[in-house]
Amino acid sequence: MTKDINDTIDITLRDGRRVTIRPIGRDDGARTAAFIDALSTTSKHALFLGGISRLSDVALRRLCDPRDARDMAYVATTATAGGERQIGICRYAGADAPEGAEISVAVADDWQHQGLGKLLLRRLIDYARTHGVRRLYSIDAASNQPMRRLARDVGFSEQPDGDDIHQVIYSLQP
Amino acid sequence: MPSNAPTPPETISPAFDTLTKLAATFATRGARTAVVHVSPGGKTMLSYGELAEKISSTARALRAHGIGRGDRVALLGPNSPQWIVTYFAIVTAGAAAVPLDPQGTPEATVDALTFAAPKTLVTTPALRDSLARANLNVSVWLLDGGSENDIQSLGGSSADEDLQPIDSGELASLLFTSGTTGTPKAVPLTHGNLASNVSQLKAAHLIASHDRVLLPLPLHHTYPFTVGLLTALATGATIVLPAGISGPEILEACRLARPTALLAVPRLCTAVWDGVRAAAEARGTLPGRAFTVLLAASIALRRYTKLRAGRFLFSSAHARFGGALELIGCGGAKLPPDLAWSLEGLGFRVLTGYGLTETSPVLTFNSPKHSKLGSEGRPLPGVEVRIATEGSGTPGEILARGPSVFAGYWRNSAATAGAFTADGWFRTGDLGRIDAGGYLRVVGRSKELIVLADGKKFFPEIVEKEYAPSSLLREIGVFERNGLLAAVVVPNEGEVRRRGALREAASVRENLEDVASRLPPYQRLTSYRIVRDALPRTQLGKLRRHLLPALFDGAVVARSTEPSALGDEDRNLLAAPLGSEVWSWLQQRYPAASLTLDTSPQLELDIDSLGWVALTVEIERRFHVALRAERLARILTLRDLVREIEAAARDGATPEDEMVVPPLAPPGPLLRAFGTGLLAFARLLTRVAFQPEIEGVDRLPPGPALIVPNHASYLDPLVIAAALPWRRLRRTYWAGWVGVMHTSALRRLVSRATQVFPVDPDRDLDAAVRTARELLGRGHDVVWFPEGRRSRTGELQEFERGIGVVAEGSAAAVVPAAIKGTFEAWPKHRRWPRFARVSVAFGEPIDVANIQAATVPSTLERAVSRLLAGLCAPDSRSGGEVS
Repeated sequence: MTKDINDTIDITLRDGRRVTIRPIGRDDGARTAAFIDALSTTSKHALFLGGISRLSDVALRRLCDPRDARDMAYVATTATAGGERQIGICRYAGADAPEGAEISVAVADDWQHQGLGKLLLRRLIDYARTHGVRRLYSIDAASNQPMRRLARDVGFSEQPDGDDIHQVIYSLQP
Repeated sequence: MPSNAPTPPETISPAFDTLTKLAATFATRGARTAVVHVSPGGKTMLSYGELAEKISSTARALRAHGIGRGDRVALLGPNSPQWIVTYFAIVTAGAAAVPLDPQGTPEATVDALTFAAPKTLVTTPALRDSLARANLNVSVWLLDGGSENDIQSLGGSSADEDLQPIDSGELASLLFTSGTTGTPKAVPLTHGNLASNVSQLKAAHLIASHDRVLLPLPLHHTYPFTVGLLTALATGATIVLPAGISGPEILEACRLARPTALLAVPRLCTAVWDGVRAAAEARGTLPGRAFTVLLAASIALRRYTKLRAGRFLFSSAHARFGGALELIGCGGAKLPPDLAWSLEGLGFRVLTGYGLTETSPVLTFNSPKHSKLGSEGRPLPGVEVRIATEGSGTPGEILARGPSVFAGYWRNSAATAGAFTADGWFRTGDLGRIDAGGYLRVVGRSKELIVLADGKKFFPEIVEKEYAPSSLLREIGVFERNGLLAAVVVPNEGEVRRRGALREAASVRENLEDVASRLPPYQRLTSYRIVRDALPRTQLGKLRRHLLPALFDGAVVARSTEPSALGDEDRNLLAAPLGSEVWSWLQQRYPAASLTLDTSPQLELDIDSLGWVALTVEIERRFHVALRAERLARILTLRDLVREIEAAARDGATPEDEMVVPPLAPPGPLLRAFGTGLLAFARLLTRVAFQPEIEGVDRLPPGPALIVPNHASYLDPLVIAAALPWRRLRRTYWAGWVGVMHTSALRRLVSRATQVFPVDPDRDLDAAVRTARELLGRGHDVVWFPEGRRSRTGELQEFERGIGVVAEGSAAAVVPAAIKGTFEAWPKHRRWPRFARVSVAFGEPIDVANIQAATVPSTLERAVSRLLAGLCAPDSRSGGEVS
């Protein structure tokens, strides 16, 4: 029996908190922007590399707005008094490129170390597989050990980045 | 293990070189209390005599059960007298103790036990049950087990002869540090390691035998173990163990046992401080304010006179802690200096130190005799500490060597290899500096720096993270070039406009310099370029750092757009009559630059705040349009400039309409009297407190003078005020930076009363320049600090160009002035002033009429510099006072 992987799923994390994982929607723009804004400097740096305090509007739009079949994103959200709050995102873009789609994942600081990153990645990888994406790759800082462990756990292989000796590329054929 | 045996100590001979010899001294202390244990039921006490006896009998029982040399015994339990007895019993029997974290997860504990492979585990019933699921192949004895398997009721004591003397090189403790990945790192500390550390701490006389040391921190960590437990026992003092580490439990222990010293970590110090402050504020606003004022006074007193008034001023706070608490020792992490001063202000003596598990642990510490707040102190006698330079360890890394430094990780040769330099120094993994007085300052962690195959040693990310969180910088990308760090910076335009676009380049530069001053030299940017567009990124927003060098190089060259590439809006802008006139004027004015509408006047045409003054004057003359401060602040590109000129023309803003009236109306009699009083008081206070030597007053011209002093401290205006003759002072006006003198209603009032006029270099320097010239024209003296900001280092900074414009065309004489000593008394980075010898000199007036306006600032700078040098030279008149 095949899973319908477009479903929303609700899960309970190791520490008991409840989280919803679902595909990104059109109206998630503001939520995503708020999520990125709330990231710590370290997490922001791990996601975007380079020092950055605020993403430009153009870049934000690109990030939040998946274009048809070439992009896909899953978000992790939690219910709060003020509404749904985004606490994690996993996205790939450019699946039609010869080198494959670029993939990235980020989880809010107070929700890390609960396996959420791995969950998001696995869901997106499953989606990629059933949608004919041949290769997924992520560019990260070589010093980012948590990312290295996560990538290894999910099955990515690591190569040094030819353009930049301080970075590595994790890649996977889904 | 590598052959890098620690250097034998040359000058110190410890009283005991093993922990067993330390334990042997217990019996001699007889009935004196060794341990007070506060528990929910009350308190129990253990005397030194009892302690000695229990250690001895338990050690023998261990021997009888076959535990001895070469064995390891794991010890897992909360702080208690039994824990202490068991530890000493283990080492007395000749085995090594493996203290484990009672708060650790069962998985972590099992991992540690598997790795350490002890013969026996001594723990509490509850902890034993929590490990029940793991199939541990180890015998278990209990602390507080009642009679069942209790270590203290073990039968069978062997004869005395079985307790053999221990050599200092033998293992005493095996401690686990938090490793990042892979094999756990176990630190073996020998008797010699621990004993040498304790001996030196004892010799520093931090505590005496009548002290009662409150020890809430868990004993499996080497810091509370060595600095707290061992030092107290070695000194013959009493240890107080609270029921737990929570606030109420600590206060209860304070109440029952009235400790004289507390061993804490910064988190605990914060809690103490918060508690005291909350209690003060809970009593109401007035008592709360009184508390703040008293504390400030107490801190000031402590700084000037080393007196601790806090014990008397805050006796109720002290009563909460038992009334006898005097010393707080803080380690484990850096204690913020502000917090340390607050605690000192409350009347506690705060001592800090630095070290690691691998160094038993103390490497450096602040002792009562040699202490410098903000530093981690000087090395413990016998310990050598130095900073790595290129070639041995990461540059800037703190290295250590000595009898209390371990010899290598237990059964982990890879980790050991990485932990020492080729010549045997231990690499702490922390970065630091040692100042001239020998005090160590820890600057950061170096663990993130990985040495790559090609030898490159740093990661731009570390630097980027330091520079990133700033409202002024939206993005920053750092890259390496020839071993130096360079960056491309994208400023946040909204913030730039808010602060005043006139000084964009300077604002960015100051921001970067500010961050750089907090970083070690090799992490500082050596050059940067500003760009407007977002940095190049992948589709998911990740920075493409390898494109930065090209961007950097390209940022200097003005992009030239072909006219055909202009958008409709731009074309209309330039086609309009005023727009095209302005554009052709700009092109004539700046023939060398290839201008586009995107050209930034500040960055590419090098127009700073003074340049704007000149430019706006020209614009007024040519186009009959006045560009006032609010408009100027919005201009980031030439497009903006053209637009603003057009908008101003449309609004009909002509030069005559918008003359800014400087606040020159003389203050009313009440305000004047207030000002007189303030000035008189300030003068008196400055003269009494600093006794400044004044020279050159006779050189002041009879007519109005523009006085131009160097600026290193808030004290400078006070010193000038003290130096000027009273009649002149009453006629003097002062240029005051808005950011300091006009930020609140009270400050503005004081400024009006004492004749300080506002200078806003970011938004409207023009108004201040006109004000100054007007005042000079009316016969007043004006004091203007041409450096702009206080010097960070005390050295003379470049004089800003404003002074040239002020002096130009004015009949007033320009008098250079030099102030010496205020930087030492109250520099920019210090919160409170202190005493230092101050001297002021006025130089010969300079006639600027014949000097080109552009060279006036540098001429004045040289004059002040010469005067300063004259003040610094030995002067036979003042008895050889040297800087």
